[in-house]
Amino acid sequence: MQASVRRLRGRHVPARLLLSLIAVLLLLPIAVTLLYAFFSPEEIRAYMGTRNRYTADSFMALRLIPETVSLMQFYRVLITDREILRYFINSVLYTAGILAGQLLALPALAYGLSCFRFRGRDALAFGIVLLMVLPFQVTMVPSVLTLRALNLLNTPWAIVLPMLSAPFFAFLLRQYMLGIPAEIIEAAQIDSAGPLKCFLRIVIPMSRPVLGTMAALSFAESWNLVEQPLTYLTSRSDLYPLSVAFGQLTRNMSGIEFAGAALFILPSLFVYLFFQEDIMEGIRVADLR
Amino acid sequence: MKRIALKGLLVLGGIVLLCVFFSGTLHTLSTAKVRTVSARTGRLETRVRLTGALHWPETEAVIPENMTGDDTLIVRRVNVSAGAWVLAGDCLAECEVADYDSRMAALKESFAGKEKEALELQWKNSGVRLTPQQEEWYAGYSRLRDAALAEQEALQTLRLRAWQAGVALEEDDSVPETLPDTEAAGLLVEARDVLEAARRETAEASRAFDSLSRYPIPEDVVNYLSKKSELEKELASLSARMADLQLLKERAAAVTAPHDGYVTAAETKAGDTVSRGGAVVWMTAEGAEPAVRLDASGARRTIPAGTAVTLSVGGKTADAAITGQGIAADGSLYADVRLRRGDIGLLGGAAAMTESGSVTAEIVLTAENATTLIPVSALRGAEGDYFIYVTRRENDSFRNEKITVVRKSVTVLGQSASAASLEESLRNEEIVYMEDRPLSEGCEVMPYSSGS
Repeated sequence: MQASVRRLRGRHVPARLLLSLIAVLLLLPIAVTLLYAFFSPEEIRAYMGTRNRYTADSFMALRLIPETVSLMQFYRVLITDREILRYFINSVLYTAGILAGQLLALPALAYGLSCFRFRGRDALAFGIVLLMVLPFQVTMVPSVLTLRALNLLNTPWAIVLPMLSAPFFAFLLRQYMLGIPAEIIEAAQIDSAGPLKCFLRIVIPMSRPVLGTMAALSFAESWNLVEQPLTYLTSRSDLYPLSVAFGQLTRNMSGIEFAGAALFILPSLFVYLFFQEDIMEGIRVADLR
Repeated sequence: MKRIALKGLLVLGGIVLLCVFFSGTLHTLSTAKVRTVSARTGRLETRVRLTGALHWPETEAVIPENMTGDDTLIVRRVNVSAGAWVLAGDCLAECEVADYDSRMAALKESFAGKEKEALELQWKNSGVRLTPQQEEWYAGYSRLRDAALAEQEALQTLRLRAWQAGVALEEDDSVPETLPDTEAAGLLVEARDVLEAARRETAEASRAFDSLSRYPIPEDVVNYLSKKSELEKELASLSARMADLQLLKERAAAVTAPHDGYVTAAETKAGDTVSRGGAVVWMTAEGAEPAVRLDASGARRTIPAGTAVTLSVGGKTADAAITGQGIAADGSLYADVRLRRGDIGLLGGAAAMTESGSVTAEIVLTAENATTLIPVSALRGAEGDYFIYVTRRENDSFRNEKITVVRKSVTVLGQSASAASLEESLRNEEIVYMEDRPLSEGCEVMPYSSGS
């Protein structure tokens, strides 16, 4: 493999250039966000004030070097303008709740649908696939009615509870667990291991790659919630996560948006780095199967 | 990579938690604290502080009566100081007549000489006997001679008064009918009346003498009688001068106050000499009231009579009112405050006021119209570009109130030490008048806590 990699280094230059260009374009917004987080708030306000003055003949100038490197944006985000911090805490709480709930419920659901045979199993699995296909807008109204009946509208549970039923992750886990050899489970059962013991001692350890994948993807989805808070928290703007409140805060152009965006990006970045190997392992194992 | 990511997450979480925990404290420390006040409507009161001194409008010199140009007093003791209140008859000073003994001796010697001369004359003319008619003739002659002398003196005085009044007399030394309304013209009129009286006396004496001209007496007798009359007059004059000198000595021994009043100046001291035209001490004229004369040059506006003023001397205060304003000889503006005896007592007495040398007055000048008033500490900027900071309150999504300051230009109509009068109406505005650090437009502020 190393030899093939060495051979690749000398070839496919155009392809590599094209891929590099695409990578730069994809990474440019993130890089600019992190870079502008070290501009002073006054400089950002002045610079962003010019964003509507460009024409079709001239582009808006892209500033890459600040006049003075300043941590004032971070200071205001973390200390003085505590609104962003409070919305950040909201996002953390929602994500943690959703992640914990999904990690408790979905592996067990997938285990039941994969390792047990009962009447209606396949129909249930098909129903999960069907739910996976439906967009949020279709299930929004029934969800609102249900939550209102349960008196959970405008509460944090309105965000967390509907997200616990993630059909895609359930499907993903089920498909992975279907690939676990039945002989391993039978061997455990011969050793007088019950279903729960098999689940905890065999299925969960063997499903670590896909569980890591699920956690990373679930984190990304929960961290970036927009529609659900706007739908279920209409009269409680103080319960919004940062993904929703950020749009409102940037309207005032207070000059601290980029530091807030950097703060928003960092948790996703760290989570991805943490689960990167599991994600790649999960994809690889799925490919081999 | 997992370790790096885990450490990064932990560090980020730690920073966020610390910021959540300490952000309130740091926010409080980094936010400017202000005090605000609402504008009120009123009339601007300007407190003007003036200084002045005790002023004696009318004074008179205290000196023994009947002093002549030759008399000089030597002060032995002064019993009063400036500012003292004295009653009529109080001994103000003790003096003695300079060269009293030598002068009295000279007068006595002159008197003795004249007396001896008169006795000798009488002895030489002891045989002269006058008939009643001759005595009558001589009396008429003496009367005519004295009337003529008096008429001459009155004429000289008339001419002097005319010159002093700037009036030209007629050829016959008569006074014109139209005269200026001056004091000198009044004296001229008096001199004219005296001259007319003297002329009438002369005419009468002349008529009387004419009727006696049939009783002539020899010339040597006339000379004797004239000489005798002259010596008698000189003896009378010397006697009067000795009496005056004696009287002056007694009066100088105790110089008393002619009436109740204040001693305005007592600058003489033991050993000083005082002559006619000078004064042992100065005191207020009878019925005159002292006043405090304030230097009103710094007031920059007229101070009407009746304006209340608070006077203070050495910590003592008294309330009075402005009684007048004027311009001094050097062109500076002054304001007078007449003092009653009670006011002087409240201020510690005229002596204390004179010793202090300075009287402080505080006057409250009130504007005519009501305007918007704010504390002067709320006013910022320079003349022509004044502005204030007003607060704006906003609520964020978490119902936290955020207070920011907004700059607002104003027009200043007037200013005192404590308040400023503005043209704008600032109703419902909270104006920042005190802060613990410099402010800028849009910066967040928080109200001072009561500390409880």
